Amino acid sequence: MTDYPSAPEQDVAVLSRIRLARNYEDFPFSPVIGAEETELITQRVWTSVEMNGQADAFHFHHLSKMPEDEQGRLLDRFQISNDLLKYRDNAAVMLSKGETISIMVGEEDHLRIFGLMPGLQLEIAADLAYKADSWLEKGSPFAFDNQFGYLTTSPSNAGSGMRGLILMHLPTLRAAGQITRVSQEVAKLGLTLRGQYSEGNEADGNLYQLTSNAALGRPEEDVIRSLIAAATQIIEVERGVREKMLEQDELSVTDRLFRSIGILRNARLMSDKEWMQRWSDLRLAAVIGLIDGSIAEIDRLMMDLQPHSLNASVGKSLSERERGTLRADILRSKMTEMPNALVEI
Amino acid sequence: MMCDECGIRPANIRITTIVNGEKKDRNLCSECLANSQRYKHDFSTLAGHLNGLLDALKSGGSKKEEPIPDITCSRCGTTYEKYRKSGMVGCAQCYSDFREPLQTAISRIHGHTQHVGRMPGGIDKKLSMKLKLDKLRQELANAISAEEYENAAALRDQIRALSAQISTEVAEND
Repeated sequence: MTDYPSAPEQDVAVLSRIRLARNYEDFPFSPVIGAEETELITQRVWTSVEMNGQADAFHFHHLSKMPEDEQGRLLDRFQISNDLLKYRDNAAVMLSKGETISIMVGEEDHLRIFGLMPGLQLEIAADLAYKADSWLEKGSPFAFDNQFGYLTTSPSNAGSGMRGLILMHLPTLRAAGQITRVSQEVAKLGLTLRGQYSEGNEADGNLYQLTSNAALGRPEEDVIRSLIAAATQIIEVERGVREKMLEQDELSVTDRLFRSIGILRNARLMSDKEWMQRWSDLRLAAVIGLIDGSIAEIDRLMMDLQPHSLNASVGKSLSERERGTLRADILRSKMTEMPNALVEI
Repeated sequence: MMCDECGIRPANIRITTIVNGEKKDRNLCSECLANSQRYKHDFSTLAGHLNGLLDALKSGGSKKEEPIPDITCSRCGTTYEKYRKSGMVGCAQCYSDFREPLQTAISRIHGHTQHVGRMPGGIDKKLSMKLKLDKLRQELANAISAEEYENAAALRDQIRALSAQISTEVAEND
């Protein structure tokens, strides 16, 4: 996703992701099969990618041959699922070089495919996922039933096998205490809004994921449309509340954000938890024009300064204190590339 | 009573939590319960618990359990009881063999029992044959290492036939 410096609705939407669950008809499902069969499926998938002329666009990794922190880094970048790590002994992942398609083999289902785009671009994310889907189904038929649709290990994923996710930064809705109300509203549309990095409504970094639930009995396009419609409304409300907050007391808002920027420019120790709070302020400061910084870069920084990614960047497991020091060092250097904009209050 | 979380479906489960001595009750529908628990627990086992809970509630809240159908998948040997416990089926055939009871479970999860939307597209014959050949070769290697020579001979014949077919197709296309 690094190839996209700007994306639609990026002031609120961080990324859009479509997930497809697929199984090949001629193998039992993942929980029943062993390493040999999973490897055979992996080779089949890679051959299909090659025969579709796409091998040069992908990196292929066996998870078991990857250090744990490198696996964690893929998770920090939203390129693999949490559950893939449960199957890490046999699983493999094929990642497109542009980081927009991820094909996971040997998760709960034989295949989990992600299409991933920055900002609010769920339809393009879906096109990407279905492109990979079409390469892989050409080689060998997927398990499919006229009544139940695409067959998955857990019947809760059967049907389209598709789930959509839109990751959103909602600092002002959270501050205004409106998250619960928004969650209730989207639930009426069969969608779920929850904190990305913690349970319930206390989300670190004010990051929330909007996801679709049921996958059987609704056409994929319908599900995608309702996700986009709900996200668009949430984005408008977040923007409205931001404007109102600035109108009411611009001085307090800019003071708070500039204080965080001051800390980011000068801190010598930055804990995991504090980073998410400061990052949220940094992102909002860039969005409302208090600093000159690319939102895409700020989002990437959020992912790259997560614990696993930091460990992966130095190739060893750091203590909490070492991590805090390294994070602060990187931030002091990065913040020089994001000068304060000329703001007169 | 409506669900505290979504407010659109009737609540059928009450969750009582005690945190620092403070008791808190929440009334949830099965869908919101599943959503709220998904990231806390392994969802596969939760689905098993949920099935039991729902059945208990369906029979008027008494503990009398609905008999679990005694079905075994004709392909992978997974029993319906095992699926009920784990929330996971073993293969595509399980869906056919468990169709009737599974319809009820799927209707609870999705609110529908009929897929609409995308269908699988076509198969690329050349790629499909190559992949079949890869699979047969692996099976042959397995059969030889397990000293199942009769099976290995049959597999070798299949490999020869398929290889010949691929060569003919390639020659025809050239």
